[in-house]
Amino acid sequence: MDPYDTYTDKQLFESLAKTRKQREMDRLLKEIIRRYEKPLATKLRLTIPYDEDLIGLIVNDVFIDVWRKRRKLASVESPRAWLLKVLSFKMSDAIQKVKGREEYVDFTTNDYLEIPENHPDFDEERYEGMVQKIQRAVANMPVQRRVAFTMRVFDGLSIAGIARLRNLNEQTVKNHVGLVKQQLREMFRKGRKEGYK
Amino acid sequence: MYNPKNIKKIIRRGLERKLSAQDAVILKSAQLIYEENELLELEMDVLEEMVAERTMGVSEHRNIDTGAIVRAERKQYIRQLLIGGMRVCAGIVVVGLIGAGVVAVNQWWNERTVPSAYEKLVLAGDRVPASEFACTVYWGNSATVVGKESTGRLGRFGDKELWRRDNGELELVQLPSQFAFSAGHKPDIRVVTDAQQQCAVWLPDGSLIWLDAGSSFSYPMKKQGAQNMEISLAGRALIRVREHADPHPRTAVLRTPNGSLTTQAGEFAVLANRTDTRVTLLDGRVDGHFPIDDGYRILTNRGDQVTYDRCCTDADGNINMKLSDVTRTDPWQAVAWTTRERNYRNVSLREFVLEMNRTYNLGVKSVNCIPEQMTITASIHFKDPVDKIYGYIRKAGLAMYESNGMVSFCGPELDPGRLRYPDGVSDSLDLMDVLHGRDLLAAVPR
Repeated sequence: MDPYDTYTDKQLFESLAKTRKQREMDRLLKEIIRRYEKPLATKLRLTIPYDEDLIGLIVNDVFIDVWRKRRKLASVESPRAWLLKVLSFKMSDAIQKVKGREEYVDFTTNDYLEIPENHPDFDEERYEGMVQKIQRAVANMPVQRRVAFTMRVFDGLSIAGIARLRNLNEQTVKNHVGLVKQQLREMFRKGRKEGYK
Repeated sequence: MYNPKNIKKIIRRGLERKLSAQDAVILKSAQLIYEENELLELEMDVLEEMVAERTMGVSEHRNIDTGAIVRAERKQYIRQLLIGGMRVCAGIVVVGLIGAGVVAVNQWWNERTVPSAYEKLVLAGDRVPASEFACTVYWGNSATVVGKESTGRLGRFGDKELWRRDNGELELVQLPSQFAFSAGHKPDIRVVTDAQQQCAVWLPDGSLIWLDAGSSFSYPMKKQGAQNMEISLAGRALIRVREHADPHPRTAVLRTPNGSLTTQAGEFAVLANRTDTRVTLLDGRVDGHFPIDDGYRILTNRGDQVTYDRCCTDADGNINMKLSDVTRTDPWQAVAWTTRERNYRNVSLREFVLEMNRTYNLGVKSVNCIPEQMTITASIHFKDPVDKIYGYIRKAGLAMYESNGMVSFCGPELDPGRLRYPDGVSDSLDLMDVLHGRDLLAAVPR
């Protein structure tokens, strides 16, 4: 049994970043490929079901990227999310190269998962209602958190920007925003149980 | 509504392209209370679930080879390195070319925009327009006639090409070394101006020679490794030699029928006849070497002039040579021949006739018969016909005698073959007695 089976994704990435032994690096990469090759290929098959060769190339490209950037992988906070982001970039690159082909056109236009508001029947009023609900829920929270959350989510400022404006540590801002989101999720779950929808 | 389980279901519907409008709204609002990474983590969970369910028929095992990944990454890395290197090289080449271009353009611009001493002295509007320039260029057995209407490339002389610039000036362009002669005779390029012609020629090293009418200069085909440029001049010319940026300064040597002039950077007017040479400096420095004892003169100031005269032969058959000291004169006078309108006020008639003889090729035999004290006042335009010159000379009180296309100021010539008895004189007398009046003397009683 391979000892890397028991590693978390984060541990795998950190080990790959630290080790200098070729054999070890190969095995770590092999483990990452074993874990994510199929999920990534699955996503690609749902998007471009008609080109198995292209799917293979894109997945290969993702792991080539993992290998190329192996020294920096320790700083990746969420390896699974990072892999999906890399996949998204690689997919865009591949589609750009073959964009002359009609069957790829709908890829960019039908990807409502990344940009839900592109949905043809997107209900703006309903969305506004939900945003107001969130804003009402945030209004009852402590001022520091509320301000940090509002600036981050509704004003679109960066964490560093908010920290500079509010004269706070970046980590503090992150904590504030994270806590608000966590609280909101809790509130909506409870609300549902209590019939609040 | 926003619990992870529900979000996952929505994501799954999104992946399967079955996202409803309501799902889209929830997903959009979920983006406000979930971090991007959290949503991606949920998406990966969904994908793993789908793999586990084998809903996508992914039973086949692709088994990506780690070795192939490593090799592919190495290849990509090397390719990127090569492309990057090539881009850097191309960039350096482009920057180098641009730099060289800028330097060349700057040099070219400076050469043309920094006015020379002559250009400061004579305004462009006052000069004989370069579009009127004409001359003949000889090289070996070939003769290239440059007319007023000649344009562009006019001919090739060995490793040099003759072009006429848009402004009318001529230019000798040095061709690459493969056009150079390997051996054999290398005839000089000779530029000759006829009557009422002028011609400005830019030499390959950036020097300018502006020839007056009835003048010529010879430019040698460059010898390999030769540092000096040697030009022979006869007649009148304006010479401009630019200083070169070479570590070893090049010297231009101008040979005249009487001595030679050398300069590394200078602008000067030269009048080089068979018997005399006159140099007037406009700018820079010129060293004159003349065939006479103590025959070395240095001209360093604007207007400096030196004259060498080899005029006469004395009773013992010795040739008299005279070299003046360096004197200061009005430089404008030395270049007046380059202007459209030349005004002469009380100038020596001899000088005037000599100058007109050069310009119009009058065919003057000698000016020695013109009285030295005679002067003339005239205004000549460079396009004036020769009749106007004759008119001025006659108006000055000088009788001209034309014979066989030559002009003399010494009275009619005696032609023994055409002598006749005067009217009313008997041909029984001796003709020579009649002509010398001896018959009249004989008739006088003693």
